[in-house]
Amino acid sequence: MWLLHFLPDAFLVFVVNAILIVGIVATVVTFFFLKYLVRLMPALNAQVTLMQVVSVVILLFGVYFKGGQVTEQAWRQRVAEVEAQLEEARKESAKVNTVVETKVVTKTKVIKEKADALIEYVDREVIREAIREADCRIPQEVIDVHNEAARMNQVIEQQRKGAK
Amino acid sequence: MRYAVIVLALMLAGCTTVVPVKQQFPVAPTILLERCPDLMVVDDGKNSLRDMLKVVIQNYALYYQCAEKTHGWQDWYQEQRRIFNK
Repeated sequence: MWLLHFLPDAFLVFVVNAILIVGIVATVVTFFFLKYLVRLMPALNAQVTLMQVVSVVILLFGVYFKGGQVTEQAWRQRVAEVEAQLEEARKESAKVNTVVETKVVTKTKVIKEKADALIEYVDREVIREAIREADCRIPQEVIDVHNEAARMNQVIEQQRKGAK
Repeated sequence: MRYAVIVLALMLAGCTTVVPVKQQFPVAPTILLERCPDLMVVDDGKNSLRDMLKVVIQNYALYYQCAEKTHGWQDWYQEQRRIFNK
C-alpha cells in the first residue's frame, strides 16, 4: 500500500472507517431490512440482488482497507521507532568521534613535544662534546637518546598512570 | 473477466510495503583519515652523528604518531560497532 504513504494519518483513518461503516450498514440494510422497503416501493424489487452485491463489495473493500490501514499504522509506528533509534545512534556516534579525535590529537601532540625536547637535547653542547670525545665509537649519550626516542610511547603510559 | 483482472491487480498493490528508513554509515574523525607521512631521511651534507640522531628521533615520533592513529581507528571501530549492535 505504498500509495498510502502520501496521505495524512487522520484522513486515511477517516476514509477507511467511512468505507467500512458504509459497507456494514449497507450490507445489514440490504440483507435484513430491504424487504420492508420493497413492500413500500415495489419498483426496488428488481434491484435487490444488485444492491446486495454492491453492499457486499463495499464491505469487502472496507475490511480490506481497514486491514491495510492497521498494517500501515503499525509500520509507520515501527519506522518512527527505528528513526528515533537511528537518531540516538547518530548522536552517540558523533560523541564517540569527538572522544577519539581528542584522544588521538592529545597523544600525537605529546609525542611531538617529546621529540622536540629530545632534538633540543641533541643540539646542546653536552652531546657535541660527547661525540667529539668518543672518536669513532657511538657515545653512550647518543645511545641513551636513541633508546629514549624508541621508548617515546612510554610518555603516554606515564601520563595515563599519572591520570589514574 | 477483464474488470476482475484489473480489480485483482489493484488488490495486489496492498502487498507492497515500503519502509523509508535509511541508515547512514558513520563518518570517521578527520584526524584518522589523514595518511601517515613518509619517514624522514638524512639530508645530503648533514652526515654527522647528531644530524642522523635527529632524523632517527623524528622517525620514531612519526611512527608513534601513526600508531596512535591506528589505535584511534581501533577504538572508533569498537565503539561504532557497539552503538550499531545496540
